[in-house]
Amino acid sequence: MTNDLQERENRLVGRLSLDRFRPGLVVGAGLTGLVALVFFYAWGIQLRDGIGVAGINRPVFWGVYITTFVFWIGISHAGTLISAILRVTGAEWRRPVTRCAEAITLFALSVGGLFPILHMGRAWKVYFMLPIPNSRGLWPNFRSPLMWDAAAITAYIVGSFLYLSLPLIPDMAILRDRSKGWRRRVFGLFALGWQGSAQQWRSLESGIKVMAVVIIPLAVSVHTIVSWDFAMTQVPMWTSTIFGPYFVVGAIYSGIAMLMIAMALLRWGMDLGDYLSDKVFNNLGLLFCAMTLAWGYFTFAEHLTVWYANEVAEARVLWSRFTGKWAGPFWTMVIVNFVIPICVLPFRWGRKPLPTALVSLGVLVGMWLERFLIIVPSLELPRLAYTLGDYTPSSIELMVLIGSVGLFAFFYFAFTMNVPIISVWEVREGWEHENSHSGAAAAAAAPQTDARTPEPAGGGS
Amino acid sequence: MKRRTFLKTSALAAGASLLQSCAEDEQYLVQPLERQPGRPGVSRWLNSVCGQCQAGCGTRIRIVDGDARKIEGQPDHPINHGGLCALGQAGLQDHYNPDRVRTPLTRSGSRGSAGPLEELAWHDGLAQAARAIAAASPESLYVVSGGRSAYVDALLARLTQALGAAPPAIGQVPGAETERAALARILGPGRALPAYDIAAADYVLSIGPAFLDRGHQPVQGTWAMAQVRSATAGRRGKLVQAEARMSQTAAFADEWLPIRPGTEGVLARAIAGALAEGGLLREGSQAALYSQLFPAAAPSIEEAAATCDVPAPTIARLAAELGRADRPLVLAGGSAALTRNGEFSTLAALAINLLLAGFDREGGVSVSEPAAGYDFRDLGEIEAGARSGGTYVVVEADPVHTRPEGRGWREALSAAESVIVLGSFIDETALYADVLLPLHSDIERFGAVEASGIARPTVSLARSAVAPLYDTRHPGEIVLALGAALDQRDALPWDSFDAAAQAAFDARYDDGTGGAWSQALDGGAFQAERAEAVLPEKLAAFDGPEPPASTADGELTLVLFESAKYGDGRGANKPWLQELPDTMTTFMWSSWAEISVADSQTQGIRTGDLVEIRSAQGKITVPAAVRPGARPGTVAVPLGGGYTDYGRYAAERGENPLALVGAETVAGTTAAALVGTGVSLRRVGPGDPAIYGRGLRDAEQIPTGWASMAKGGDH
Amino acid sequence: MTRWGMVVDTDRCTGCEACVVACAEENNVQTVGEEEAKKGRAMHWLRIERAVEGTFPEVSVKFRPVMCQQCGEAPCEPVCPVYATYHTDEGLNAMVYSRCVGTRFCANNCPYTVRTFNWFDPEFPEPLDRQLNPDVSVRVDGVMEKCTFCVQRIKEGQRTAKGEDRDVEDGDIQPACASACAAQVFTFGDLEDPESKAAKLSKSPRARHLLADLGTLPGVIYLEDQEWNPGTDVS
Repeated sequence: MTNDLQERENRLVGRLSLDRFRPGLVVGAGLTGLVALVFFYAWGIQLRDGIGVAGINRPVFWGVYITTFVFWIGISHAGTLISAILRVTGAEWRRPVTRCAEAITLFALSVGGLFPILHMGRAWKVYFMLPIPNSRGLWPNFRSPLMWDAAAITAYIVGSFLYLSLPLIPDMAILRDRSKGWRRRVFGLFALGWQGSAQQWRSLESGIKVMAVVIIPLAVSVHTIVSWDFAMTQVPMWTSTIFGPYFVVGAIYSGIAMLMIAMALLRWGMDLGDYLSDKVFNNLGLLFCAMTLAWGYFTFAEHLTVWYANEVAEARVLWSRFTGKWAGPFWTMVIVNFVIPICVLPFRWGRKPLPTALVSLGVLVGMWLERFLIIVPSLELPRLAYTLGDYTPSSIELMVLIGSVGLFAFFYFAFTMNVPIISVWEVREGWEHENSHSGAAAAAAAPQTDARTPEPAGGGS
Repeated sequence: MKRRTFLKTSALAAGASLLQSCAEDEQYLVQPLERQPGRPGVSRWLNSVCGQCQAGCGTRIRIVDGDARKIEGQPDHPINHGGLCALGQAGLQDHYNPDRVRTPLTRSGSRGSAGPLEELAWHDGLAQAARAIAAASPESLYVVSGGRSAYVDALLARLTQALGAAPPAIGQVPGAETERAALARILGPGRALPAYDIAAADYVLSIGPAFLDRGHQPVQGTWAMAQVRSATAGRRGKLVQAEARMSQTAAFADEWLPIRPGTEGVLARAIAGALAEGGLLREGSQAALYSQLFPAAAPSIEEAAATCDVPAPTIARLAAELGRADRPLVLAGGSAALTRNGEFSTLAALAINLLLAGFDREGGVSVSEPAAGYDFRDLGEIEAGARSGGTYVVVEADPVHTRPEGRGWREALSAAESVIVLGSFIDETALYADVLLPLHSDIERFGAVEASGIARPTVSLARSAVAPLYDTRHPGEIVLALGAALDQRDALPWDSFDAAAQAAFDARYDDGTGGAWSQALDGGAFQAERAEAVLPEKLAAFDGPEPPASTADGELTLVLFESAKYGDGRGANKPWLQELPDTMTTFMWSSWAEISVADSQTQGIRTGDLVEIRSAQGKITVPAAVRPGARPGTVAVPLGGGYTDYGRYAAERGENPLALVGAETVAGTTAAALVGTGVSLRRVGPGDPAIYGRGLRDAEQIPTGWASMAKGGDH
Repeated sequence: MTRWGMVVDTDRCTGCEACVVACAEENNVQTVGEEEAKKGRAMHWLRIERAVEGTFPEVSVKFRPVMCQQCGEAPCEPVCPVYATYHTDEGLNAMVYSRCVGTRFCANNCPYTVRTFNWFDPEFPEPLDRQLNPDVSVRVDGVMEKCTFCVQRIKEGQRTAKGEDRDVEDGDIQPACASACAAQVFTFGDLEDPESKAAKLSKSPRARHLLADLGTLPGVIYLEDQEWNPGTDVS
């Protein structure tokens, strides 16, 4: 029994193949790293010449940068929130998903967190926003939603990091025990002296449980606060009471889409179909479908009320989305964010890896457009119509946008190269649960394809 | 630093060599420096006179650490009453303009191009200019002045007289020539301009002049309208503007009559007729004089309505309102004076004041005489004469840019014997200069301006406020130096410009004590009593032609105007003014063509599109501004665009609409007809002009912002 | 207490824009050039709005100068994360340029769209730089700015009064726009002083606030246009 489990674990670790040179991952990391350089190149130009190299102007003071900021913060809801909810609710099929989801969170947050700094006119003065005691008694203004943002995102990054790191400890120990030489020392460092004692398991599990409970309200608050960057103002169609939940739903929606794409790529690229199975896609697809409905409902409610109330300044923004200058992006958003998902996801064939990945790509585009359409038309149409605006993103802004995708992907490739992208011990724990429930029958049905010789097992579990 | 040292040294050398003949040099080198005490960082305000147009507003300059920082109007100055216009405010960008000419220059290449120009010592520059003038025959010596200071022009007049040449030609506000001619038909021969006491009027009908946009006294006009609106005369007055183009004045007016261009005289005649017929003639009205001037019966209101495209009931109501007002006033000229039949239009409007007993009363018409009784002529008189060869002396004027293409200035200056330009910039005329003598800016120079178009003769005076930045001189001093070099010290016996100006001033205004001059110099201005406008016993009938100002079928009527920010073009080299959104169109950094909604629809033109405007004379391509307030059938283009050179901010920016205008004159005068040229309009393609609030392209009508002005709570 | 305020009589505004140039001149507002102006980045702290109503020939136009309204409940203030814009005890919305990090949140939340942003460093080709007002800092790129009611003139007036051992008198202090205006459109003064001209005018039945329904309590009060009434006297 234990040997069987051990063999399955060996097989999984072999698939993750952290000790081998994997050209796909290396090329992927290299290419996305190059794209990531575009991000820093564009930012460098902006720092050298001034924020004016972006297309933003007066009155459209926010554009692609803030859109992309909200986009990445939204993506970050993929992991932690989903994995935490699934953990808290004890959904067994979550086990292969949590790690790759949590990694998305951390990296999306890291990339997204750069944007508030990047969009500043004087990014080098960002420390003004830190509560550093100084002789002039200057303090950040905690009445500003931007400070709430800074606080919430910082907390979320820390929380997500912890939440990702805690379950990583036993896996690091597994890798430590399977490695030799310098790799053993490095993994040993991250394993934090894990020996798998009962005391350690108890501490770890209670730590993970606490973090899972803490991270859910944290994640909800982060995107609520991001929405308050808009909802707290007097800008037409920004000031809305449902923006908090609307943004949270949108964030989870886009997060799942990103997770679906990541999972599909991992499944095909690393031959992880046995773990990221159709069942996982199916279950996550159901959640995805539910979020489609929730997002559609919020979007409908938001636009319906504005349309019905027909307040002058808001109606102008509304119609610029419906039939005016922004009708193209708006209806594209409606199609890729709602029409297509609702035609695909309710069906079992639609929740297979390929359809969901394609739908997810559309949703990512749609969710970026959604944020763009919230920000730009409202700013273009201020209340005093004399300063009507006109915004076209500049090449620098587009380079930053594309570069940020590269940067995120680079982080993800690098992570996958060095860390088990599927939580080995959790999956093994699942097998143990299965075995204890259904005995050897389930074990017999487990994958048998990997024939490589396992490394000697160490002190893991 | 080396360069500056060199310039200083050469200036000193030039000064020293000229010291014997031009004792005033001492003044430049020493006097302004003495006037720069002041502690570091402490600001002082010194008086000056604005020279950005001919109005003569009194300014005060804030000086900190030797540099001028701000211009403001002198409070209680009799012309501008503390205010100043955008052009005047931008005067500091004249003074500190990076493209100012810093030393005398001479040409070594061919005329008409920017280079090559060589630096020259003042001694050599003056000598070269004097030689050229001496070599010219008196008949072919043409002196042109921009008319910025009557006292400088008086010196020019003395010089030409002594040389036996024709008097200087003075560039004027468009329409001025015709307005003078019209006034002369009522008050007899003379060179006076009509002056209006707008501030005391309670009902102003302006038939033509956009007197708030620019014109003779834009700042005073603005101040005066504030008085009219703030009920100085007992109740809030009214302004009615009859003008083909919706100028800022028309927009400001309580009522705007978008009259067909060229028919202003018919409207004026009809109103006069309605006044007489309606028994609305007030006590003291000069109906007899009016009917001597216009013996024919006035057109009926209905006829006028059809001709002018103004509803008949409106004309009747206007006449009634004029007749019942306490102090009605009719303004004449301006844009109405620029059409082919401008003299008739101006005279017909001016003559309504006869019926309103408007001459020489409070809130009425009086005369504004040119200063110091010098002789001058109109630019058109030079243009109308046969010119070949000739020697030109151009003082603070740019006839190549500001006169219609058809007036032939480029050809004339190319073929001239010599061209001597006194100016501060390499403008289009300076491109033809053999010698360019650079001038002090307004605030560097001793300012002496006699205002025109104001009822009480007013002289603005001020000493130089700051030390000269460069090796420049006062135009008056240059004229005196040229006089000395030409052996005309008898005609120009003064050692300095301020002495010459004082002599001219004292001859006219001094009561024998000599105190008026120094008082005015310290106080900023002198104001004499109102000159009387004595009406003659009898008037000769108007015999001028009344040609209809119609354009051919299918053609649009070109309306040229001075915009508030560019003026005649002088404002174009100032970045503040280039970037100032034109109030009516919000265009920046560009010329534009105002096109009516109806015409834009037939041609499919949207605001911002490039349109080609073509006349028999030429064509220009400018972005269109589609305006609800534009009269169908007209195309209005501001002056002041399309400089080939005038510094980095003006050059190659927009287009000069004068390229469309041929040699047409206002009938009976030599004035250029800037309104009424027939043009065709064609959309070229999309353009990308700088427009403040880009969304305004498509949304001229923005009522929502105004509806949102609600009564507020406490504050 | 002092509450600086401005009464703007739109009935007198001719749209000449002298105030706009005077403002740039006094406050070292940069000129951005044609290309930047095309992008909507002109920096004017004060603009003349025109409203056109009707169709030809029944077209009417109104002018309205709009600058920072110096709100009592300013939407721009709470959203600044670093207190670069804050409320003074004299009712001004002050800007601390050196504190601004350029999030531009204040500008988004200004319903009057009167804030302008330095997208690039200003250029003042020599010797235009010699005109710069030494009492006002030149803003670098990445910094927000707006009308200050010419706070340097307010301070100057207060210093002068203090030096002469007296209180600031009504009319002592004139912002650049007010002193440029030939039509006397602007009346600046202390709204808390019931004797000041501005306070009296602000009680006029013609007095209006811009976008008053937003509850921003502006310190700028507009006197709306009057009609010509041939029969009766106006007050």
